Amino acid sequence: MEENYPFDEQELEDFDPLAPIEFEGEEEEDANPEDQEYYVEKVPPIAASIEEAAAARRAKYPVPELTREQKIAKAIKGMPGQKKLLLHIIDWCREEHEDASIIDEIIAFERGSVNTFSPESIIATLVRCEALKQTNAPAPEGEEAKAPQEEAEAIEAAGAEEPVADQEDAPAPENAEEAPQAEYLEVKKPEAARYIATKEGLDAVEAENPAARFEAFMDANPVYAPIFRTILENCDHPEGCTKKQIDALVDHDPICMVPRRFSGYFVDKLEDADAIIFEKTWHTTEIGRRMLEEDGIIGAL
Amino acid sequence: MSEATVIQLLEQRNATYKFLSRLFKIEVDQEFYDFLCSMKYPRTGNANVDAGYQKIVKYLSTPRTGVLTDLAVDYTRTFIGAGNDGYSAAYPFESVYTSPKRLLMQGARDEVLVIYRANGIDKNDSWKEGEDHIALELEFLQIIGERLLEAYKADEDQKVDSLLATQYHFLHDHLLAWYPMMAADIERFSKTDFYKGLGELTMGFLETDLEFLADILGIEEDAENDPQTLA
Repeated sequence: MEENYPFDEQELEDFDPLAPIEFEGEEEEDANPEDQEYYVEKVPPIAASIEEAAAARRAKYPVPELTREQKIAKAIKGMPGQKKLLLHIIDWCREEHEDASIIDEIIAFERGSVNTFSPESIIATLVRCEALKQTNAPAPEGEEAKAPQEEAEAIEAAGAEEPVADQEDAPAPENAEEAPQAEYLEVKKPEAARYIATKEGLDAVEAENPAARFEAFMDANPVYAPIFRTILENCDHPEGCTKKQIDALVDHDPICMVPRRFSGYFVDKLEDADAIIFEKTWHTTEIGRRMLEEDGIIGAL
Repeated sequence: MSEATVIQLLEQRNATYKFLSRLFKIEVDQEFYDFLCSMKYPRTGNANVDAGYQKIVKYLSTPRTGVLTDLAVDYTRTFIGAGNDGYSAAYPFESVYTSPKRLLMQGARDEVLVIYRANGIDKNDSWKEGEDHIALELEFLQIIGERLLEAYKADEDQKVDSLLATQYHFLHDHLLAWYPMMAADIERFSKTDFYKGLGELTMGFLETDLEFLADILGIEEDAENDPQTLA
């Protein structure tokens, strides 16, 4: 069998592992070291924090400042499942309310349903998008440090008491000159935060017209009137209708075959128009009953 | 200084270490919030301590909704952060500030662990973080301070000197060697006056306590050997 060696046997025998390694062209490099490129180990830059990177990105790709109307619209659009709640709370805050009563109103509006957003988060969202404003808000956190006298006044204005000499708790010093009376700051229990709707928030509430939206949909899609009538009539009793029951009523109707529609499509439209409401099951509201009347949106079709 | 005054001073030091340790350990819960609102915040004459207390009191005295959520969010933002590059929060670990790559569980953690065990102290099994967390370092000083108080009451002078030296060296070699950098990061990352105040308060208290210990032990603070100036 012929053996095929990849190396020259003579070269292998002549190879001295202890001899210095010489590279081709090495002499040329040594002749003019200033002209040669030296490759140094790349020193990585000091890692920029996310904050610095974010600031650099903001400078490179500036984000336009939104108007208050745009902020409110964006917040509501970003939370479609909370739209009715958000608009209801803005509307409810036409007059100033304390945060505790706003929280109670949110809980009442939800009627025992589970919401992934806590009432405090809802309020914070509305304040952040400037649909609500706090009427007794604290000074901005970034305010410069004031002089000590002004600082004391600021604390007093914010509710904390002036420094008081503690005469009750500290042990009586043996020598009054050695242990002067201590001064203390005390936290005065803050009053409840109060909120009121902004003009732009109320404008968003006024602009919301679900009845007009539903009427426009029915004008464009009168073919679905029987489906809506079926849902409204079946939900109009004390036990209401479960989703499964509505599925059975609607999903196999010939009207829903082309284009293929399922019960959720119609339930969403009716809920948006406040025609039905979910309280453990779906129930028809007064608005829904009016739609079924002869001169109603659906009854007339 | 009378014995009663010394005892009161030592008790106040221990209470302050315990207070600071709790603030760094976990977020403020309802029980601790109620305690903070009922507490009295002393004026000490130290600019950082007084400024820190003022900020905390001002924050707690201001009307706001969801204060516990607000504080929890700022605690996470300040001490945990949202990035993984080692520069996105005021990480409360000595190893982060004293290791070249800002990693956890580095040499500093081993050093403090040796110190704890040499003093017969070990972390609770429920504590899953490193032993060089600032809450544990502050609690260590609190525990030594309590032993110091007992030794003082029992007139054990030698033990008192030894424990004072333990506190001084731990403060000088460890806590104050890295905390100033963390304090700067707290100022940078925190968005509430509460945790900004905590950063200043801790800085002022540790500096004051080091001066106190140096004064008692007769150690002259040498600026050349000050770890803060070396940093």
